[in-house]
Amino acid sequence: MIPLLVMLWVGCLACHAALQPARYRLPDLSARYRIVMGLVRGVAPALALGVALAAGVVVGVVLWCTTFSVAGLIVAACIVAWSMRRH
Amino acid sequence: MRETPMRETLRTRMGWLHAWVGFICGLVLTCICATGTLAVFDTEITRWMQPEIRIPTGTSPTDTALDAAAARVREQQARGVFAFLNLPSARAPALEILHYDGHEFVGDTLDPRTGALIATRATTGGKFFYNFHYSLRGGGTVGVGIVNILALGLLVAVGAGLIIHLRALVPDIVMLRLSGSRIRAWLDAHLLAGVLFMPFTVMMAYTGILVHADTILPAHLHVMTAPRARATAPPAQPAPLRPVMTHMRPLLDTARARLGGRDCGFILFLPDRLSISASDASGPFLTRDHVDFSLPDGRLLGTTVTRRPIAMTMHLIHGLHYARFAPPSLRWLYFMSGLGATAGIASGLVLFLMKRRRHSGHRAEFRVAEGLTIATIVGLPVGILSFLWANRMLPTGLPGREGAEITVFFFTWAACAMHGTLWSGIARPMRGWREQLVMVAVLGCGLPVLDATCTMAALRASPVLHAGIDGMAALFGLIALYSLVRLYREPVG
Amino acid sequence: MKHDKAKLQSSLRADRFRNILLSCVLSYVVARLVVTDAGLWHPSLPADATALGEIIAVAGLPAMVLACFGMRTRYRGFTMVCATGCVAVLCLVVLA
Repeated sequence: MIPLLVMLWVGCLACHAALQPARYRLPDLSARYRIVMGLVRGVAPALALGVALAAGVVVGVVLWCTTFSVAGLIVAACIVAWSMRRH
Repeated sequence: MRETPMRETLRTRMGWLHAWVGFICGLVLTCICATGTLAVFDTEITRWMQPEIRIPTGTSPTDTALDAAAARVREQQARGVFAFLNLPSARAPALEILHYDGHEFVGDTLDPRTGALIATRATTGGKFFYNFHYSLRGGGTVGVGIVNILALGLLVAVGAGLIIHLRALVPDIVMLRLSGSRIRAWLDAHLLAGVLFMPFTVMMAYTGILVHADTILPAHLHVMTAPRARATAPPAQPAPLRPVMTHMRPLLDTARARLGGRDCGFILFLPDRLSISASDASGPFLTRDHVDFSLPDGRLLGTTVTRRPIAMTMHLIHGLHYARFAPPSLRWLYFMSGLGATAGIASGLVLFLMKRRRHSGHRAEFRVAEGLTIATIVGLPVGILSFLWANRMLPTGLPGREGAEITVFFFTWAACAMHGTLWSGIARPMRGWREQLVMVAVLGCGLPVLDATCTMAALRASPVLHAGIDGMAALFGLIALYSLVRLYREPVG
Repeated sequence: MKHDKAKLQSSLRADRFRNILLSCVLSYVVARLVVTDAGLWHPSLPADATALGEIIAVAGLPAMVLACFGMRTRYRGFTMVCATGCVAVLCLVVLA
């Protein structure tokens, strides 16, 4: 369950960064991709919460929050690595 | 030309508050968070520090072992030691007869298969980190109160930080610009760790304060309470200890059934009764639900189960903070989140110094502050690794061994503090940082080698346990090595 | 001019320091009153009532400190916290 939660959060936060290309110095996206990414950014956290709550309310919320933190680090590290390769 | 007064906005005020409360409280909070993070695996660390215990996980205690343990507890109580019996669990497979020595729970370890005493080296183990985390080790009620006040400071600093960063909180949530200026890079790292781990940090600080809230927010205002009547009766004689004439197994089975199928955690041996409590690992609510049996015959007296809403809320608060319910995967998430929270505070300390170095770097207060920061960020890991090294290096039969390991920890940490303050005092703080990072790298990367050399049999018996602890030590050693390489690009001073 | 700037900064620091001390003291007093009131509110279950008071007080304490220190316009923060304190004292008088 934890890898799935992390993947969902990684998807959400990666789309969040991709939707702000100027801020994160990422390539611009076409309108179609922006719509899809917006959807992923909105739906993924809800999906992650639904998956996490299968382990119980308390454990589920704790899993949801902690996997968000880990996924954020992964996405930040990937953006840094990508920027360093590009430049 | 008239001088315009400095513009005092909400953000500037909160910036000042966040910086100063964050730095002053952060010096100790980093240590509290770091030891709390280690306390997530306190049982595992204790097992690592007692390699003589080689019992496979999941071993159920036999009837013989349980009865032998009960007899031992009564024997110790007859000698005036208030001991209790800790039952085996997934994390700690041995039977333990523990008593509180003023700092930690210590005592004998028994084989759950035979009830025989296992000759282990005396050590406080991972409980030392737990004790340091909540009471600054040896601080007693005052120590607990100080930790609570610092945790309130943490919440104030987080709140102030939130107000400053509110506009960019969501847009910059995964921002990390390492290619810019150093201050920018450190600020981004501080924000990244602070924001991503904010839910965990706030939850742990809030629940931690509530666990010991009565130390700083006692229930009664003294002016409102009537003076207590002086006790005129002489102190009662201690009740005679009734023998345990019944077998433990049927009592445990009855207790498990009465507790709704939850595993039993520990057994209190009172003078006239036995009290079997539900295991802390049985759920996120840290209840003290228990089943009582009379002595000497083991007749069921009753079951105490708490279901009142506010009491259950407090049990949940305790459960969330202690995390004893967490399975290994969630425990690792707690550990990583603890590291993230510690990194958030530590990076704030570095940022505070970097921002003020140009204008205040020559001042004595700044140099002392930098020395203390070196002691906190690098000196503490040196102390912790020295504690683990001492466990392997000190003779197993050394009298007062537990105290010796703790002395090594504090002595090493104090030496690092002096070392950092000295180099900072003569305006060469980079030497202090680098030399202590060398210590972390050597001790961290050397721990797996030491462990394999000294305790190969234990390594073979519990490879996952040793891989986890040795692996983390080596990882920190490598991080220290990487930091050292980066620092060598900085000018000395 | 440099001297004036330094003097301004110094007086600003002193003002902030005074404010934070006052905010902490005031907020702590109000938090203690809340806990005491809670304990008196439900005499049949004092432990539970006190626990509820502690839950509220610990959550409110940092918020009160930030409000007192941050909301300087017409001393709104101080006013709010003082008003909360007065309500707590009134409750104490009524319940005791």
